Amino acid sequence: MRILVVEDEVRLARNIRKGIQTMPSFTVDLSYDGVDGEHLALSETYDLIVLDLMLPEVDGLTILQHLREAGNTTPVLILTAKNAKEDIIRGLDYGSDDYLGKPFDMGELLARIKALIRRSHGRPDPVIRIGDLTIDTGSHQVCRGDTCLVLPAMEYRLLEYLAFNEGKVISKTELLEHLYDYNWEKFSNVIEVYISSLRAKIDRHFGQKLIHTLRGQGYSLSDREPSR
Amino acid sequence: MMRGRFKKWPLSVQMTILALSSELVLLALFSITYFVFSKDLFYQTFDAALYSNAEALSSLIRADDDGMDVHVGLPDKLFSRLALTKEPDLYAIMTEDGRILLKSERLMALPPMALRRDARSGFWNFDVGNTGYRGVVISSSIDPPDAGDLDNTIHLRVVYAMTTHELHEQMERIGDFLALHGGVFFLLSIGLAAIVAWKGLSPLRKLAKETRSISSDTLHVRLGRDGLPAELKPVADSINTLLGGLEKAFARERQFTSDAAHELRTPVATLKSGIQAALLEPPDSDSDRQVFHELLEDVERLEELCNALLLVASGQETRRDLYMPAGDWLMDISETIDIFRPKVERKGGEISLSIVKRPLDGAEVRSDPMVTRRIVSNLMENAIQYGGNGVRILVNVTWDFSSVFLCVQDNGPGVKPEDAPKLFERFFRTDSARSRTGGGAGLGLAICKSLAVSFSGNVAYEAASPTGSRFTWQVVLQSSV
Repeated sequence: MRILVVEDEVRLARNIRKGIQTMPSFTVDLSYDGVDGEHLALSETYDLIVLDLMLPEVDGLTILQHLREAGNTTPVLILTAKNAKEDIIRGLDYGSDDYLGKPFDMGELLARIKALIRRSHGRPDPVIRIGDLTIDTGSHQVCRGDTCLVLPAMEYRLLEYLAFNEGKVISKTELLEHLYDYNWEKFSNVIEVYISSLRAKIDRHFGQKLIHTLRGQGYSLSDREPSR
Repeated sequence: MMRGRFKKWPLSVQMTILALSSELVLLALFSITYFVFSKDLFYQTFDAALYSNAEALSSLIRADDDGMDVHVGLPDKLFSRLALTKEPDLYAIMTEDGRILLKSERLMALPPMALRRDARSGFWNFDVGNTGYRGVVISSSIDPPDAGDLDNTIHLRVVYAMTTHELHEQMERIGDFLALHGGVFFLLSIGLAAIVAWKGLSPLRKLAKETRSISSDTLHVRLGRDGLPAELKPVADSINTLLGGLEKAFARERQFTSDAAHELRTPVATLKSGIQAALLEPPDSDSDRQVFHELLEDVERLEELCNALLLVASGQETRRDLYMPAGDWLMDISETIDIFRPKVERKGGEISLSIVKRPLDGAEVRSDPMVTRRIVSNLMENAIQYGGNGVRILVNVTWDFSSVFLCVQDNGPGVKPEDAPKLFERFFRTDSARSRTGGGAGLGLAICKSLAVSFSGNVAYEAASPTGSRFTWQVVLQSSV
């Protein structure tokens, strides 16, 4: 999952990124002003945007408004130093999905981010079950039957993304967009490397294959054969 | 010195005294004038009577044929006056050369002017024994009956005197009358002057009352100047100007508080997020973890301070008109108090809650749950902090027809009398609390007060007996009809 944090307080933004990236599921892009933030939000693909309201150049509410006008449905969590009810209500009216007042509790922020992501995928249960594969998005533990293992961050992120989109065919480009932040050189073959590594861990020793490759289209995680 | 003291007396008294003294002067002048005028009038009347009596007497004189002897035919009751007075009138008839033809026995001495050859008529006063008299001397002439052509007209002097006793009595009566009625009028006018002064000062009192009703929470109110007399308009205007300045100053202070708190939030958020992000990864050592946790505690205190400041700032600007059922309110209170029980019991103390009277069904109190919890927590924290170990906290709730009172009383050392007025000021802490670690920022009571006031209630302090403090939160009660 890829998250955009738009926050003008540079150190706060970095702390948020540091906090979010302690979870293997997420990679974070930072933006320190309104113009850059709006540009990134509109041009890149994100699973969630953490948006400060008081920003230089363009304020958070305007960005939100533009985003929704452009048909972008990415969940938005608003951060506000004001904590004034009117701001919160206005934020929600403009199409934000949640808000948090500054100073906030890091644990709460992370929990809200996870909850928003689950909600946006229509999966309120923090544990995703596909066949006998369970992925606990809270503790990041992955189990196949009785065998539980902790995956490296990148592999977990890939698996979780596929799991949230269970049954759908996800292209390599989409995976690259959602799993890497802006600063990475995106080479498509890294995905193949991670897929094969994942296969080795959760598919190879088990009867039913869950990771499916559709040549020329992408990958799918499902306990049924994907329809072509 | 007397003057200085007089100036400090109530204006209504001063005005009454001034009005009365001028009235006293007028009254005295009037009495004197009236008295002098009446005296004059009495004497004129008296003298006229004297004169006519003398004339009457002289008309009774008859001369003999030879003109040498003179007879006076005095009837028993010659003049009505003679019968009316206790003291008889005195008279004398004498010739021009001073020979007395007839004289009352009691008339001892004749006026000098009656004896002089060239005497003219005139009045004189004299005493017979203790009785004062006033007499008149007139010239009279009679013609003997058969005088023929001879000019043998007899020239006589008639002296007539009446006692002035009654005249003086009448004068005294007038004096008494003036003194008595003047006194009564004066007494009446004391009351009248006091009423007038009181009435006259009523706009000033109204202004004072209006001014008094303005507090730091109602600085937007201005004194009405339309109904005021011209002298007080400038006073009201200057008070209004002052209020305007005060309101601005207060608004600036609120704005500053609010801005400061908002500005503080971002660095606090940065600090907090930094520490928490650091704690998400396993720290290098236990001591690091310890340091991080302590830092986090400090940051959290800073955060609470920001929130408290904002609450204080916002509490004053908004008047809130929310009601909640009295039952829920009581529930919130007892739940909030329960949170503090373990803490107090650990310190060897106890909390007791007593609700003296249950509210009627449908009664509502002007508050909201958040505010209720906040005020009760702050009062409890305060009691615990000041009560020290083994504190006994008594909480009781009483009702009257328009208010509910929540009293939180501790048995701590109480507050020094000189500190009491400052208790609800922001950042005020007593010396003992300041020296103790872990004390609040001195905003708890200020917050209680500003929250309570924003709901048209109040929080007040009083010393408890024998020791300790009692804080009373007064909440508006509304019984549904």
